[in-house]
Amino acid sequence: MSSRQVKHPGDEELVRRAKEGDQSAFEALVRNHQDEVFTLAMRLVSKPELAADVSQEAFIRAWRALPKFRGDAQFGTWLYRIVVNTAWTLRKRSQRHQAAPIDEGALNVRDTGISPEQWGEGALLRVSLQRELDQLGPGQRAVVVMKDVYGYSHDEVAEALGISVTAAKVRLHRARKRLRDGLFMEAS
Amino acid sequence: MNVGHISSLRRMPGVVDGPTGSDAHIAQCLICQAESAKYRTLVRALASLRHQIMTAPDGLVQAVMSDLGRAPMSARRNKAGQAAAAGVAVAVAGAIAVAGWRRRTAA
Repeated sequence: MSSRQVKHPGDEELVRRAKEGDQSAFEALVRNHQDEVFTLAMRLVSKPELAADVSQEAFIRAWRALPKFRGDAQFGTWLYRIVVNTAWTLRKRSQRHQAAPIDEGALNVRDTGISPEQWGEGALLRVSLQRELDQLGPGQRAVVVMKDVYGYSHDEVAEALGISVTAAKVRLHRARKRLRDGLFMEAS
Repeated sequence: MNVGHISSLRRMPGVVDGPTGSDAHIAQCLICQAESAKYRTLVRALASLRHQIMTAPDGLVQAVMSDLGRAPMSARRNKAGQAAAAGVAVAVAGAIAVAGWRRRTAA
């Protein structure tokens, strides 16, 4: 199982009902996934207002496309692909939103699946890393977030962003190098 | 950094995917080992971001649900469209049949 897959109990039943047009079932799905969707959107666009727009639009697109969801993948996995596509298509709106680096204190960030010791060890590095991610252009940031944070394959990244696999690999290589330069230059 | 280092960097874990770490140069070169360690740290730190979840803004659920009205499901829209088209086809066929019957009756 890749790191991007998130399963909420009861999703399958909610999806079945939502596909039949049950809006209350879809509302429950939105509640289950809103934090994950917003987090992914924030990682991709780095601006809270735009991330909220992306999240809202992604859920609307998911509702529209729900009859086509065949259940081959988990609902969360399918939904995240829609979030990535939405963030990519709405990225031009980012010029209208004031740049605001992620302030995790203000955004109420919680940690899952990580021990307090692990969290403490990497906290400073993650703060620096987030700052460096915010400095990347949208194309490089999308690739590195999809591949290295969420565990998508090169093929999936390329398909979602409408670029070739080779271009995705080149972008990833350049993005990692920029992150590495920023992080370890800062530390030295 | 000489060409040997650069060549080896391209094969390090975290720099590109594919065969990694098998280069004899890396095993013997402290510079490349240090570089490789930095990339491994970077990749681990990136993966750890996956465990940080941000709380969505208040009102997102309500905003989505209020927008559902303007976003009919694709299949349902198609079904509605097909039903409308079928209805129009039946009406047209009926009108043609009636017109033909009237012509025959008049003649």
